[in-house]
Amino acid sequence: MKDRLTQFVEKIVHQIEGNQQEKNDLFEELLTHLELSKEHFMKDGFTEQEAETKAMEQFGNEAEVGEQIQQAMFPFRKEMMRLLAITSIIFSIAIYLAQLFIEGDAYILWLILSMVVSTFLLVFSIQSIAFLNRRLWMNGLLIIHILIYSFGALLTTGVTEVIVSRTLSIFAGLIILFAIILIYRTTIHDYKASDHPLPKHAKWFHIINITAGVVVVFVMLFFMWGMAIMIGGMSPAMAITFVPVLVWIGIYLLQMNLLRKRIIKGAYIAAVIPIFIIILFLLYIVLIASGM
Amino acid sequence: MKKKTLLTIAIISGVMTLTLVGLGVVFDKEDLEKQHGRTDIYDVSVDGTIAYVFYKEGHPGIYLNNLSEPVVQLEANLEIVDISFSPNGKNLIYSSNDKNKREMLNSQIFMINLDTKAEKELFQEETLITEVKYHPTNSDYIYYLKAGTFQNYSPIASARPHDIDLFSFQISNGETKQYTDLKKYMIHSLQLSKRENAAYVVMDDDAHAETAEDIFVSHQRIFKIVLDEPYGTEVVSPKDSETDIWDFTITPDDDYFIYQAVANTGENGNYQYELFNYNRQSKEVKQLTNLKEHTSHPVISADGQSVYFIVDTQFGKSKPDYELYKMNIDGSSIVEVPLAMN
Repeated sequence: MKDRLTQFVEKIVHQIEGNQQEKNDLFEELLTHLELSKEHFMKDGFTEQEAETKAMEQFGNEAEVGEQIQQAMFPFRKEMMRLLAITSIIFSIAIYLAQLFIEGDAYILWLILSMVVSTFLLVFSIQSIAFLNRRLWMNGLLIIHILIYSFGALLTTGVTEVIVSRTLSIFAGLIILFAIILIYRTTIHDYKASDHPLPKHAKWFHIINITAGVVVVFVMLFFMWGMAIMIGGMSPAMAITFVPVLVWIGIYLLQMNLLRKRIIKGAYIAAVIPIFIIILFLLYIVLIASGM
Repeated sequence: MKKKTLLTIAIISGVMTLTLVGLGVVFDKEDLEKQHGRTDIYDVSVDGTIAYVFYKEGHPGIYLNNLSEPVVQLEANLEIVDISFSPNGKNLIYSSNDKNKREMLNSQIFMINLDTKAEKELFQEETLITEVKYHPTNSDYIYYLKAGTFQNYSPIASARPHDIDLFSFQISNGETKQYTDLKKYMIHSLQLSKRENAAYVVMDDDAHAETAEDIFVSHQRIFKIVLDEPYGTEVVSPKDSETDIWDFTITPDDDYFIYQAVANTGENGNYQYELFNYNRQSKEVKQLTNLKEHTSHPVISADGQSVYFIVDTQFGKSKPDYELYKMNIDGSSIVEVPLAMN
C-alpha cells in the first residue's frame, strides 16, 4: 500500500507531459519537498497523519499544481495542441462540406480519419498518456495528422468555387505548418532531458531530417497531384512517388543507428548526401521555373 | 472532471462525424450525375437553327435555339459525342456512347426528324466514334471518325481514343466504307467539301518522322483526304508553319480555312486560342479574333457570311464555361448568341 504522500505526488506527476526521465526527476523532487514539509509539521507537534495532511494542504490541489508545473515546463504546449486540434476539426468539416455540396463528392473515409486524429490531438492536449513514449506518440500522431491534412490540402484544389478553394488552401497550409512547428518543438524540447548517448547530435539530426522530410513529402504530393491531373484519377503508377519517402525514412533510420553506435562521421555523411540531393533538386526546379 | 470532459469531447466529435457521414450518404452524387451545363458540341443548320448539347445533372440532351425542352435526352450513363444537321436542316444525327469508356465501347448513331421528332438508330459500332458529319450536299451519306482503341499509351497519361480512321455510312442501304488506314494517334475536326469529293481533317504532320523526337516536334496541320480511289492525303495548311492547328472549318467555296491556333500566352500562363483566316490561294493568314480566351469550334453559316464559335472563359480550370458567339466572316461585329440552357 503506497503512502498518502506518494499517491499525492503521483497524481501531480500524472498531469505532466514530460518523458519518463523528467517524470522520475520531478517525482523525487516533489516527494522530498513534501517529506521535509511533513517533518517540519511533526516537529511543530502534529501527529504523522496530521503533518501529512498539513503538508499536502500547504502544497495545494494536486490537479492545479500539476497544471502549473506542466505550464512551467512546457509553456503553451497544451494550448498549441488544442488550437491545432480545434482548427483541424473546423477545416475537416469545412472542406468535407465544400466537396459535398459544391462538387457532389463525399470523402467519408478521409473525414473519419481526420476527425479521429484531430480528436486524439484534442484529447491528448487535455490528458497526457503516461504509459507511452510521449515524444514518439506525439510526433507519430503529428506526422499522421500532416499526411491526412496534406490530402485535405489536395481536396481544396478540387473545389471549383475559387474563393472557397483559395481560402481553404491557405487554411490547410497554415494547419500543416503549425503541425510541423509542433514536431520541431517536441523534438528539440525533449532532447533537453534524454537518455540518448549523444543528445546534442541527435537533436540536430532530427532537425535536419524533419526539414528534409517536409521537402520530400511536399515533392511527393506535388508529383502525385500532377499525375492525378494527367491520368484523370488515382492509378497504381502513383506508387512510384512514395519511393523518395521510403528512401528518406531509410536514411533517417541509418543516421540514428550510426549515431547510437557513436559513428558520428558516418552519420553526418549519411545526412549530408540527401540534403545535397534536395538542394540540387530545388535549384533545378528554380532554374526551370525561371525559364533558364 | 477530466474524464467527464474527455467523454464529452469524444461524444461531440462522434456525433458530428456521424452527422456529416449521414449528409455525405444523402448528398453524394454518382460521377455519372455530376456533369451539368453547356458543352462545346453544337451545329448550325442551313436555316440558322442552332442545336447544342447540354447536360442536366448528368443527362445529355440536344436543345434547339431558345427552347428549354430538349429534342432528345439520354440516360445519365451516356454521353453525346457529336451532332450534325442534314443539308436541308430537317434531320439531325448524333453519336452517343457510354460515359465509362474503359468498360464499354459502343457508339450508336441516331437520326432525329426535327419535324416529327421521330428518332431512328442508324447503326452502332463496338468501338468509339469520335465525330460524325452529314455530307454537305448528299443527305444519304454520313462520314465519321472511328477510333480503333481507347487506352492510355503511357502509365502517366489518361485513356484516349487512338488508331483513328475515316469511314462513311450510306443511310439508304446501310453500307459502311473505310477511306483511310492510317491508324492515327489522333484525327479530329472532320469537314467535308461541297465542291469536290474530299474530306478535311486535322492530324499530326508526322509522316516522315523516324524518331520519337521527330514526332514530338511535328505540328498539327489540315489534311485533305481524297474520297475517290486511290485514296490519298495531303497537307493543305501552310506546310512549314510552326503553328499547331487545333480546330478548323472550311468556307462553302473551299477557298478559306477558319482555324483555331494559339495566339499568345496569358498572364496566368494559359495559352490564348484565337481564330485565324487562311486564304488558300494567296496563302495569307489573318487573325480574326482577339478575345484573349479559349476560342474554338468555328462553324460557318450556310451563306458563308458569318462564323459561329465557342469561347471558354474558364479554360485551364476544372469546370469549363462555354458561350456561343457569332461574327462576320471578316472578324467584325462579334456578338454573343443567347441560348436557353445555361
